[in-house]
Amino acid sequence: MAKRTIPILKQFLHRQHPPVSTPSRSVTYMPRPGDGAPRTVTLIPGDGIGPLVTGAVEQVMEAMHAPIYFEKFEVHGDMKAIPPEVVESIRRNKVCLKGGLNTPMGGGVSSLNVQLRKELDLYASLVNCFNLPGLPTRHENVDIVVIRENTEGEYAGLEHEVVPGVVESLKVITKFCSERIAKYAFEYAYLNNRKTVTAVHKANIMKLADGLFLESCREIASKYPSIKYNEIIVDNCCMQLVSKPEQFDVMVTPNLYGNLVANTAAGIAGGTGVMPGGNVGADHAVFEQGASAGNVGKKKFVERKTANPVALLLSSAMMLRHLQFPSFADRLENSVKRVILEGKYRTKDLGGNSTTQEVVDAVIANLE
Amino acid sequence: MAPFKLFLLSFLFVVSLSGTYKAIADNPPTLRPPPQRIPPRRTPPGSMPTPPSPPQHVTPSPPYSVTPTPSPPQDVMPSPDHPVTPSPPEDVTPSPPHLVIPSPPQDVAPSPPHYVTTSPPHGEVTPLPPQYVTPPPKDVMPAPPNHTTPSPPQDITPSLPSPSKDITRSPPHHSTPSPPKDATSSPPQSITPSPPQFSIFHPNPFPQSSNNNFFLFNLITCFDHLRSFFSGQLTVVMALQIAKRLLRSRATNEIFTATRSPSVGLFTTFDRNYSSTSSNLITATLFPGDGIGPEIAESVKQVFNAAEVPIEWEEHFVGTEVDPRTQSFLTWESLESVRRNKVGLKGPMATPIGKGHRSLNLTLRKELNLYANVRPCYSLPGYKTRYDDVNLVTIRENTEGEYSGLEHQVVRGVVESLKIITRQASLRVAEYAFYYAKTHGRDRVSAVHKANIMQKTDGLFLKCCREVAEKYPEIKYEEVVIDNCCMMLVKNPTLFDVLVMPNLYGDIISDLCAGLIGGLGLTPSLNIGEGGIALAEAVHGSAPDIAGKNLANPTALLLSAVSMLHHLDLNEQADKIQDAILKTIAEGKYRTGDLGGTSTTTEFTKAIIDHL
Repeated sequence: MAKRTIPILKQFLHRQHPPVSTPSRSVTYMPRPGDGAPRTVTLIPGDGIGPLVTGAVEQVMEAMHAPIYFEKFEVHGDMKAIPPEVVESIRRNKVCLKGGLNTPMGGGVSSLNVQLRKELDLYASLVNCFNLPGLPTRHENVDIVVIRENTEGEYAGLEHEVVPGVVESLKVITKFCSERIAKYAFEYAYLNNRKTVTAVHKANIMKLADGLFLESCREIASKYPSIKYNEIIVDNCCMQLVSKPEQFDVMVTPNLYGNLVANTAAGIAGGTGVMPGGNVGADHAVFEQGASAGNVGKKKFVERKTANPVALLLSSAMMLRHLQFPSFADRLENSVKRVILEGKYRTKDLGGNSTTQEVVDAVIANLE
Repeated sequence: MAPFKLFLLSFLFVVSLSGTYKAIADNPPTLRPPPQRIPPRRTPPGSMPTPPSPPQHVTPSPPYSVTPTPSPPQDVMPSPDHPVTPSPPEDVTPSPPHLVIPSPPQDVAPSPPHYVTTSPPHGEVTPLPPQYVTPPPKDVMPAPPNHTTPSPPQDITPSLPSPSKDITRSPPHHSTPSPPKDATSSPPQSITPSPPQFSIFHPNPFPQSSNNNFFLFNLITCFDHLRSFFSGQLTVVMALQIAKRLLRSRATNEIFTATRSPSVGLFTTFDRNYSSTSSNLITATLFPGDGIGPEIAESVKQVFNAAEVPIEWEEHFVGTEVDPRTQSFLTWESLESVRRNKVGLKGPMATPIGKGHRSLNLTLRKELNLYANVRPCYSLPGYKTRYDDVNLVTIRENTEGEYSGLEHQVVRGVVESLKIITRQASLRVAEYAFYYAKTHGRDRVSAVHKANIMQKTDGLFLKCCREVAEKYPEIKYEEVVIDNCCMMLVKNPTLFDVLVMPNLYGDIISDLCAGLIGGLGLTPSLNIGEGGIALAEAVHGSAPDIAGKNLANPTALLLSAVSMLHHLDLNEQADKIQDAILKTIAEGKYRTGDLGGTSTTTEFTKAIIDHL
């Protein structure tokens, strides 16, 4: 912290305060006695830009004096499986923050990300795609939350070669998983005051599989009469996302479509560098960059240290709320949003040319 | 007496042995596949998971019996008793459709692939159309090895490259047997060197290693020769077969006169100059469709007349009752007409709801074997969307992948759906993609996949694309993960040029790209089928609410017709019409309702004609 003091001081001097809609002291969260005890969170830096952006989060947490301790573990995408001590630690701590894990292409190693989700049964993946004020994009008024089933569907990983030259892959849809993801989606909408839930499917072609998914969604929808429910076919959905994204609110999808829709929505709202997200299950939660576009960032971002930390910072704000430190979460989010609004410190994917460190310093400086 | 009997028996035995010996001496086993009248390996590749001990599977019987014992996959194999009448494709369907068990065709030379009448009895499920197994008649066979036809499987696939390919070219590998050009007792033929079932079952029955093959092949051919020695009586019947083939192929010759220009292999457009018509007109099938279909089809006809495009339209309409031959509302004659003309234009068709028939699009796709869907997406200058610089082409595999329609309920509440990727289909669409890129002057092809998660399926697709990419070194090839691709498309569509994808990703991405340029009402689309069939279609709906009111926007159908002209190599007229359309829209004076204007269809059409 000491060696960062000078740059931070510099930023303090140059800081302006543009009008941002931050409520000043009108919200009070009442903690229980003892809620301030520090919580341990597992931290997996990962590959590619992972270490860079998780380092950013660590710095910001330290600056905020947030009651968080990180337990760091080195995991890399080319390992065969997640080391058991890491899984043990996540089970103990219940919360994890993770950078991306690189999945080698066609290498016969199944993705560690998918493995982790299956092992901890993190069945819901959530990505919040919204327009950040001050960041111009082609589409306005975007505020979409994509809730994606995380364990089954096309990513069941059950493939085999029938005869040489013919390969089959099984897509498995079960009522159990579809029901619980639909329940989660509607519960999320209810708890976060969202008005519409849209189910994305391709049931005109895959009648049984996506038909089952839709059935489950419809059943759960009938239990939440105040939330509007509609269905849309996935190709039409992508077309609408590109032309009229403001019509979508919460979207619940099976695994593969969720991946595509989340990345498309992230792309229209500012890119994968700024969208927070995470995976949550009944007992555990892993927060990571919302939509990572299937990679861990370009090499040159890693080399020049120009990766965008905003996504992981916003995810860690979500994590703070999950851990019931809402005030810290608010401060962090406001600071990040202010930095983006100011527009002086932006990394390359947002059109600027700052490094990660500069953005982090700006965020720290903007913390109230 | 007993010793004498013993001696006699052993003498006879020795004599018989020497007889067989002689047989072997006379016909030394070479690396040749067994003669055609002997049914090939009784176990088609589909039933052999991995060839554990090939000889057992391969040698159907001990050399002494004439009728080799048939072994398991019953439906597919011709019964050994009647020579070489392979079971007609109908018999294949009992086997699970998705198992690619090729069926030996009914007649070996005969009807061109498209005339194969059988369609699968059940609704949406399709085995690979039998024509993969039928060799096209000789005239239609693709030009001898050149780079546009996929090389025979380099590795172990006994899967179905069209058998003719294996027949016409010499084996590229020592592991595949030489094509039976000199099939043992058949008279020298100029027609088809051999029945196709060979090349189906032969490509490489022993995938282990090529070293094995020599030895094992020697064994097998040895046994086969022994068999042939004992089954000489079959030769006569075989000669009859060949004579039949001769006659039949002569009959079918007419249909295929000179409809293939020899220049570029499979996908070439055909030069009708040497056909009989003196007027140099190309006949094309037109399906006006429902709803707004007839109006926009009319518009296309007018524009084409004004531009003096040498096309004569043959109109077909969707029937009002289910045609049992096609099990849908499309009549057999319509499909025949498309197969004959090789070119078609289809308006929007509304599938009537009900059971007992296949959807119209599905019918077309299966019967005409439309394997690639090409959508050129370019921003229309003058129609402002959020993306102004889109210029890409999506090529989507149209037959397999996630849309095979193979689903079942495992137990209550658990459903499985199969995604199938085959080498052959992937090779086909990759070939077309690169061919398209080359002929339209595109310099990059990107394969879209999710091979980090679906390693084997998309891995196979990628492998095929890479193989084809090597044959086109001047075209840049890259691979993009689907989620990355989605993201990049919405952020910066100029990053892509030609995209080639399996079925599901293709569906989503092509609709996404359509959304980028303004929706389905403006997007052209072209379906490519086996045998060079091209069916251009308008992908939007039939809009029954504005049907007949002269308000429809004909742009999609017009642009599809333009891409059809490009396919027919009438580039000059295609460009003329395209420029006229773009200019009309750019001007903004005449725009139909969906583009934000108030013109009627006829006014819009007139404006385009004026701009020609």
